[in-house]
Amino acid sequence: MANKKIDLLQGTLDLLVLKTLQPGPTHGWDIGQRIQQVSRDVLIVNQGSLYPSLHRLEQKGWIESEWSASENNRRAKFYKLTPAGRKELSAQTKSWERFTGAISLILNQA
Amino acid sequence: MFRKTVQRIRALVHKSALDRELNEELLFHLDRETEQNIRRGFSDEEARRLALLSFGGAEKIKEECRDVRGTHTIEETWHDFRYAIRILVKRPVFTAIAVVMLALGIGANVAIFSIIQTVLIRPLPYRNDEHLVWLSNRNATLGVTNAFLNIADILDYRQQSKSFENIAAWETLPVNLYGARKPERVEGVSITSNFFRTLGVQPVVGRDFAENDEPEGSVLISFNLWQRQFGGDVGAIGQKLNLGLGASNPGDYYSIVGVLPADSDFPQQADIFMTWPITPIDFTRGGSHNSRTIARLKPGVTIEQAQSEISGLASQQAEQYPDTNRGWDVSVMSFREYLFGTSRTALPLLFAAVVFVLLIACANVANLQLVRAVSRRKEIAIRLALGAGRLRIIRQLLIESLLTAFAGGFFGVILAMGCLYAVRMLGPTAVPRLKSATLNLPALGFAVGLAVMSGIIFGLVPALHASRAEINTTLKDSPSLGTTPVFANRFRRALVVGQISLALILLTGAGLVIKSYWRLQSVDPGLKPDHVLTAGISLSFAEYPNGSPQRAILFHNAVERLKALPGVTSVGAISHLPFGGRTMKLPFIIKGQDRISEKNEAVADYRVVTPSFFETVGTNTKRGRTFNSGDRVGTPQVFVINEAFAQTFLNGQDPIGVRLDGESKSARGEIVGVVENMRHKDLETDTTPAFYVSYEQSATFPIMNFVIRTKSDPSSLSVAVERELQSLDPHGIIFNVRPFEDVISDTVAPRRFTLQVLAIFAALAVILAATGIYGTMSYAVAERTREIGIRVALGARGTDIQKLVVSEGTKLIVLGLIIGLCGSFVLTRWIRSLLFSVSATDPITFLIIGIVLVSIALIACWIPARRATKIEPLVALKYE
Repeated sequence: MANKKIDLLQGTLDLLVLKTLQPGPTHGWDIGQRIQQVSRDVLIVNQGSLYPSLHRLEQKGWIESEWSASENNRRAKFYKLTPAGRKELSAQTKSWERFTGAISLILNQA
Repeated sequence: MFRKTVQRIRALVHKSALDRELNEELLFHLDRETEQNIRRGFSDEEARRLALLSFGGAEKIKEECRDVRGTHTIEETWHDFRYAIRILVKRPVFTAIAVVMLALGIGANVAIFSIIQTVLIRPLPYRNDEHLVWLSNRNATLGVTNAFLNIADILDYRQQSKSFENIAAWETLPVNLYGARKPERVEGVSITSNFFRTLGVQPVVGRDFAENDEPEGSVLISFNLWQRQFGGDVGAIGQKLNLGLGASNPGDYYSIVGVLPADSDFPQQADIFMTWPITPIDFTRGGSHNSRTIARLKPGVTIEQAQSEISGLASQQAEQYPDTNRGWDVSVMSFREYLFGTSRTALPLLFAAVVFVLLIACANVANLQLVRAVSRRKEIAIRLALGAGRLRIIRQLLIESLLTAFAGGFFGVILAMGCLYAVRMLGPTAVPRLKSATLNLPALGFAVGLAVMSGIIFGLVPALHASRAEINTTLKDSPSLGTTPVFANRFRRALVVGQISLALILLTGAGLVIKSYWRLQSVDPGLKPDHVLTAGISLSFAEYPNGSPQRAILFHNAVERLKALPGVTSVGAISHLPFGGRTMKLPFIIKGQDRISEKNEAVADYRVVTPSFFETVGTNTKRGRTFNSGDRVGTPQVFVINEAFAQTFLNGQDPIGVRLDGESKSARGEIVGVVENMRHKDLETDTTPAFYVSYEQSATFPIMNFVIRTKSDPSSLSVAVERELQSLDPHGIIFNVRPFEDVISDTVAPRRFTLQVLAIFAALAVILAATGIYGTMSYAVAERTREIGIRVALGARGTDIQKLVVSEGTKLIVLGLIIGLCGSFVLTRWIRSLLFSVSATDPITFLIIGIVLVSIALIACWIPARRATKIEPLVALKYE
C-alpha cells in the first residue's frame, strides 16, 4: 500500500467511533469500514481495539446497542449515540480541534 | 456509579448470555470481512483466511471486552482467592507458622482488650457514673492520706456544700446470717439511706430505703445473696432475717425490703445493706474516721470546683473546731479512679505489652512472606511475562496475606476465649469486674481490625517488592547473581532490629515487675505463715452477748481443744488476722506526754490476742514480755506494743512501764512488752503502730481468728478444726478456714496476676524475636551457600565461616539492644506505680535482661552459623 498507515493515538478511536455514529445507528464492521473510507485508508481500525472501544463507550453510557437486521438481512448488533454521547462528542470534538490547532500553530511557526 | 454497579452485576449474572452475544457480534464481523474479500476476488477459503488474519486473536478481543464490562474484577478476585487458598494449602508448614504466630499475637490482644473493656471502659452500672466521686480525708501534718471521713463532718458538708446532689456514707460490718437456707457469714454494710440513690441504683425487686424514717430493721440484699439463699424467690421480700448482731437487742430481726440488681457490686461483694441510723452521738466531733464516703456531683459541677468548695468548708471547720479538725482536709477523687486504682496502670501496661507481642509476630510473618516472595520471584515473573498486571499480582499476594491474617484472627479469637476463661477462673478477685470478662463485640471487631491491619502490614511490603521484580533478570536468575535485592535485605534486617528492641523493652518491663514481686516476697512479714492454718469464728450473739464472760471461756476452750488435735504444735488467736483485711483503731493518750495535743489523741491499731498468739505465728518478742495466764480480769491491764508504736509515739523512750490512757477504758493500762512489726494490710504497706491486749483483759471480741501451727500440711487439718470450733458454738459461724500462706498470697494476687501475664507476654516476645533472628540468619546463610562454598574451597576454616555469619547477626543484635535499652529507659517510667522498692531504671535488671536477650539472640544466630560451616564446597558450588 502506498499510503502510510497511521497508528491511532490513544483515546482518539473513541472520538472517531462517536463521530461515525453521529449520522445514525450502525454495526461494528461498518464503523471500521467507514473510518477507513473517510480517512482514505490512512486510518485502519484494528478489530482488537474497535470492539473493546465499543463496549467501553457503551459501559460509559455514551452509546447503546440493539440487535436488528443488517443490510444483508442478518442479525447484527447496532450501536447508536445516546444524548449523553452526543454531548460527549461535541465536547471531545472541540477539545480535539483546540489540540490540533495548537499543534499546527507550533509546527507552522516560521 | 450506581448504574455501573447494576450493569456489572447484570453482566455477572448474564455472563454466558453476554458471552454468546459477543461471540455472535464478532462472528458477524468476520463474515462481513470474508464477504468483502470474496467481492475483491479471493477464493472462499482465502477470503476466510485473510479475514481471520486481519482479525487477530479473537480470545484476546473477548477478554478485553469482558475487562471493559467490569465483571472481570469480581471474577479475578474470586480466582485469586481460590489460587491463594491453593498456595496456602500447598505450603502447610509456612501457613501454619504464620497462622500460629498471628493467632498468638491476636489472641493475646483480644483477651487483654476484652479485659480492659470489661474492667475499665465498660460503663459502671451506676447512672452517670462520671458524676460520682469518692471523698477521703487527708492530714498533711499527720501524714495521713485517703483516710475515711468522720460522720459529723459529712453531716456538715451535706448541709453546707452546693456542689453535691447527695453525699452518702457507709461502714462495713460483717454479719452472721440466719433465717435463710443456710447460716452464713456475709459481708454486711451499714449505709446512709441515700446510698443507692447516690449511686444511681434501683432495686430490681422491692424498694429502696426511704429518704427519711426508714425503720431500723430494714435491709437490702444483693442479687447474689438473693439467688444463693432464697433461690431468687420474690417471696424473700418481707422475710425476716436474724443477723446475729443483736447483742444489745437479742432476737432482733431484720426484714428484707429490696433486692439490688445483679450488676451492682459496690462495695465489692457486699451482700447485706443495713440502715445506718444517725444518732445524736454521731454529732460529737473528734470521733473516729470510719465513714467511707461517696458523693454525686450536681450536673455541671467539675471535680475541681467540688474540691475547692469542700476544702473551703474543711478549713472553716478547722477554725470552728480546732481541737478535732485542725489539719484535716477532704480530697475529691473520681469514683472510677478510686474503684480501679492500680488496675488503671496495670491494664494499659499489659495492653501495651501485648501490642508489642503482636508487632513482633507481624514482623515475623512479614519476614516469612518476604522470604517467600523472594523465592517466588520466578513464579511471579512468569505470571508477569504472561501478561498479568502488576496490580493483579499485588492483589493476589494481598489476598494471600489477608487469608492468613483472618485464619490467625480466627484461631486468635478461640485462644482469647480460652484465656478469658482462665482469667475468670484464676484471676484475682480484687480487680473489680475482672471475673465477668468475656469476649465482647468491640473486642471481636478489634480482632478483625487487627487481622486485616496485620494482613496489610505484612502483606503489602513484600507484595510491592515482589511485583517490582524485573522479568528478564529474574527469569535469567542464576544462583550466583540472584541474590536477594538490597531492599529486601534491608527491610528484613530492620525487622530483626525492631523485634529485638521491642522484645527488650517488654522483657525489661517484665523484669522490673518480677523483681518487685521478689522484693515483695522477701519482705519480712514479721511472722512465719508456713504450716499455719487459720480459722475464724464469729460467735452467735444470742448465746454469747456482749460482755458475757462466756466468750473468753469459749476461746480458752477452743485453744485447748485445737491444741489437742493430732499434729498440732501450738494454737493462738487474734481479733484481726494479719492480711485478713480488717482492722480496728483506738484513740489513746500516753501519760506524761503532752506533745500530742489534749484532744487530738493518737490512734493505733487495737488487737485482742491469746497469750500463745505471738509464739504460734512466730513473731519475736523484742523487749519485755508478752501475755501470760496471769493477765486476766482482776489483774492490772497490760499492753504489748509493736516496734512501730514505739518508734512513732515514744521517741526512744523505754516503752516498758509507759502508761496509756484514753476515753475508752480499753486504752488504759501499762506497756509490758514490745514485739516485732507484723505486716497487717499487705506486704507493701508499712506496719502501722499497734497495741495488743490479752483476750482475758478486754471486753472480748465476738470474732476471733485462730492460728494453728501444724507439723504437716496445714490444710489437712481444716475439717477437724472446723468441726471442733462448730461443736463449741453450734450457732456460731466458722469462716476463712485455710492455710495462712494462702491468706497472704491473696493480698499480692493482683500484682501476681500482672506479673504472670506480663511474664508470659515477655517470654512470647522473646521466642518470637528469636525465631525472627533465626529465620533471617538461616536465610542469609542459605542465600550465601555458594559464596561460603567458595570460601571453604579456598581454605576458610569453620570458625572463619562462623565468625562471618555471627558477626553479621551481632550487628543487628547490638543495634536492637541499643534501641531497646533507650526505649526501656524512656518507657519503664510509666510502670513506676507497679514497682515495689525497685527503681524504674534498675541497672541490674537492665543488665541481666540485656545479657539474657543477647545470649538468646546469639544462639539463634549461631545455629545457622554452625550449619554454614558444614557446607560441602562441592555441593555448595552446584547449589541451585
